[in-house]
Amino acid sequence: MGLLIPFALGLLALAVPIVVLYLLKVKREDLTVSSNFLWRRVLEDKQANAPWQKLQKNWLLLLQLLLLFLLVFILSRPFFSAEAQASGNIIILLDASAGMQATDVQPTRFSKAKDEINSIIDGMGGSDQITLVLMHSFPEVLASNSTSKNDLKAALNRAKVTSEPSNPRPSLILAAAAADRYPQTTVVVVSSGAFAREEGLPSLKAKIKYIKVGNSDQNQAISGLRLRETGGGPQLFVGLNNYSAQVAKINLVVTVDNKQFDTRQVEINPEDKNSITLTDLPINTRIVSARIKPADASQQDYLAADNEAWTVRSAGQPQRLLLVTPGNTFLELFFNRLPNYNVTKVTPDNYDTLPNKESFDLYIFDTFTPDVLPPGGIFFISPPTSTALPVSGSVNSPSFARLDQNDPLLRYTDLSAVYIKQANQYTLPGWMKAVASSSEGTPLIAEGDQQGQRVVLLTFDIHQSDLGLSTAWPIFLINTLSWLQPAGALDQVTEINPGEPISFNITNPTEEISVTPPNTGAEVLKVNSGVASFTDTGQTGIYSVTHKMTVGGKTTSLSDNFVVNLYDDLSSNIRPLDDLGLQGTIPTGASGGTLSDHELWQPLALGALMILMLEWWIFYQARRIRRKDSALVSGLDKKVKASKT
Amino acid sequence: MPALLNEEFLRKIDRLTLVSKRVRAGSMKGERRSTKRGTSVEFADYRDYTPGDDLRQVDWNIYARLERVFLKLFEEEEELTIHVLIDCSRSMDWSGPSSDLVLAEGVTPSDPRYNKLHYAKQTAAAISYMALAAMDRVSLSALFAGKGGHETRLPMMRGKTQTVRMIRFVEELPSGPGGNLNLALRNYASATRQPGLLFLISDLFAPSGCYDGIRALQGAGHEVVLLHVLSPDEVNPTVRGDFKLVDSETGESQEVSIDANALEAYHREFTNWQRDLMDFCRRRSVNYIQVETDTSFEDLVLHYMRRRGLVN
Repeated sequence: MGLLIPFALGLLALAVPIVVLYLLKVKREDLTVSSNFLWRRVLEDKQANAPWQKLQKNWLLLLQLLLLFLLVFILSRPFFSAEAQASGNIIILLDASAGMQATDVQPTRFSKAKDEINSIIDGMGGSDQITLVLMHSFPEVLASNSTSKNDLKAALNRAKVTSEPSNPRPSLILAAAAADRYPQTTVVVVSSGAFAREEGLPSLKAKIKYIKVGNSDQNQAISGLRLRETGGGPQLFVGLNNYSAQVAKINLVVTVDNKQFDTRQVEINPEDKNSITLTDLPINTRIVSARIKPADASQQDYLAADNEAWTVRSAGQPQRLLLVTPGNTFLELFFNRLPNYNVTKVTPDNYDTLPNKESFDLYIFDTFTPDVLPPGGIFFISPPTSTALPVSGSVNSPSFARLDQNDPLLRYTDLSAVYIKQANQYTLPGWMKAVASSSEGTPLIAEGDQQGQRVVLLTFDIHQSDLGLSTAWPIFLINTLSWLQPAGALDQVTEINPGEPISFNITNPTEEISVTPPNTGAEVLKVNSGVASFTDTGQTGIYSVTHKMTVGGKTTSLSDNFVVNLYDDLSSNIRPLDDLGLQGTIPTGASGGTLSDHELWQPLALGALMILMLEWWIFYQARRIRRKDSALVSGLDKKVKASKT
Repeated sequence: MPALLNEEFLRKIDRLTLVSKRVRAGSMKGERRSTKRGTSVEFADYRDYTPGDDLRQVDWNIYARLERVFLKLFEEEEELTIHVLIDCSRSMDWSGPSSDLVLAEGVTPSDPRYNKLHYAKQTAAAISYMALAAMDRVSLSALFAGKGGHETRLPMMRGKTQTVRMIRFVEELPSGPGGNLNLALRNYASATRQPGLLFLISDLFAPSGCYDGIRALQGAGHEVVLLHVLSPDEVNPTVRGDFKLVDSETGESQEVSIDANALEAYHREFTNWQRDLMDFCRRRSVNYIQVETDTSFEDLVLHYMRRRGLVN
């Protein structure tokens, strides 16, 4: 217990004038009587102890002194110190990514996290202020530097968990900026800690208190669902991940256009992945969904958000692709079986004379480099030296050693066994980066984006390797062509992450686009500068897109779909971390040892108010009784007089 | 202020006489109907003529010789001297609290009809009239009247012809600052040479008390009748609140918070005071009558005093 303003206690001296006023300053009216003879005798005994008796019997005075004491005590701002999770300036980062939907903590990790934050709010002192940030794909500030418990709790009640992937970086940058403004800031992270697996997170100049939520790693996820075109029809690739430390047996159910197509049991080793390739899908396949669940009751899968995935087969216009090659069986075979690509093949000698050679969407230059690069995505395969891609030499028998598996080009591919006889050494321009390199660092696959034009470089001739024979080849080509699709060709985007906005280019002023999310109604998008954007993509599932266009008085309507899938390792790997690994983090389980000051003025003010009311009640009662007695005495007087007459 | 006595009331008391328990040997013949009847007609003495004396008692022979008027006195004849003492202190000039305080809780406004001094004057005038009508000698004195607070006395008188003079004297009596009642009574006792039936009309609000004075009066041979006059608000005060009580007589103030407890204490003190007075009077054979000014004055004279054997 302490006082913030102890000097205010000096005001207790006001009790003296109050007592003196009661003793000496009673306002009395002069009342002339015939004689004080009897009154004097009445008062003789009383006057000897009158002041003290008056004080002893005067409840109003006692209550007023008590009221004064309370008011002075309130002004001195008494407080007590109690141990708290944090104190001072507090920034709470509440993880609301999909992983917080895990139910290993009842009812959910997110609910448990909210309970923890409620405890912090309850324990906050009068001088504490809290900034509450919801952390999902972007930081969402729910309350800023608030000292009001009610406001903070209302903001916390508004917080909802999302299905969005974890993206801690912006939230940590925001917290770092806020911490810089206030010294002695404590950042409280309420999370399972999965986000901290991301490397290169910014450091915070603040004490970090980590409250771990969650206790299990039992989760299996669909990590990918892809359709690819083959000569025999669409082929489905299903990627599966087991994040638990035990072997997982799961049942996989694949549905094609609302009809169950395949079901099977898949076993995945601990902390390993598995992939299933399904062929012979119907030639008119449009929508494919996959769902997993534990094969037996002894297993648990605590996160449901990643147990289902969807993919759609694009129904857009075929891409126009120019293949410039002296002859490449692997490429020709591949494109012959892709109905969505309208392929024009020329030899390098005929390239310069090709009319309209700049009207293609994609270009593949196989061992050839044009003098002037055309617009559109370009896939170079072992191009000869040029100013754009100068060759500095070559390496023999390089192998894929450094692979960025998270890069879109290499997703679902396994290039580790690919043999390469020889590869060129290119001096990559600054806007390109290697996504696959040899152990010596020679780039084998590189990608880049120069002012919207995307370029992929394969540094070796396919004929100088067995890549074209591997199962990774068609996947790599699909990934490459998908990535090279020019940005803004929105009608070709068929999959996004939860929370990621999607935009549609509007070329016709009469075009109207509406989007129908799963389980909710359609929303007509507003067009702004020729682009219609849809942002409410927090829910995983299939979204319907309807294009309405009026041409020549005739309205045509086209329907398409895109899907929102949660493919996020950080979210699906629900194993909680004991330590965030961020600089300044207090280990989990430590009390923190922070003392928070709690002022007592509220209950004291309530007490003062009650005393004031009690004083008023006593005054009112005394006045009422006095009037009643007076009426009785007057009545007796009248009776006495009546009896005499 | 209403007139002291009206004619109808005077007619009612015209044939009433004051009764003394003992008849004294007077210095001259009276017309008193005494309980003791003398038989002697022996000459006893002369005395100077007093206005109002029966001219039939004048010794005309002496007058012829000495040219002075003397009355012949016979020892066996009885006469009664009536002494009436009115307390004219300011506490007696009281009708009730000031009308300025009518808004104060429990305050009964003053009423001139209940003025104690007026009541005392009425009583004194009635007693004096009855005595004059019965040819008793009447001595009327006012204690503490006037600015000096000294005694004011009307010379001894006799016979109904003195009625107007008596009433004028009584009517014009002012109230005075008050003083020591015991001392005033002792002075009166020592100054009077003809004891008789003495009516003391007072509220007895005297810090020094009145017992010594009454004893002195009895020592001088007076048969004392104590008429204790009080106003209703003095017997049953109803006022409540925080007041500075100002003594109308002395001007002294007394701060008091009057509540139910204070009123109860007052009643207790008043009862004790009244009981002491009655005990004293009973022991000293003083006829004590307490009367409140809201009691009808006629009832006092015609019923209460007759019931107490003071009037016949």
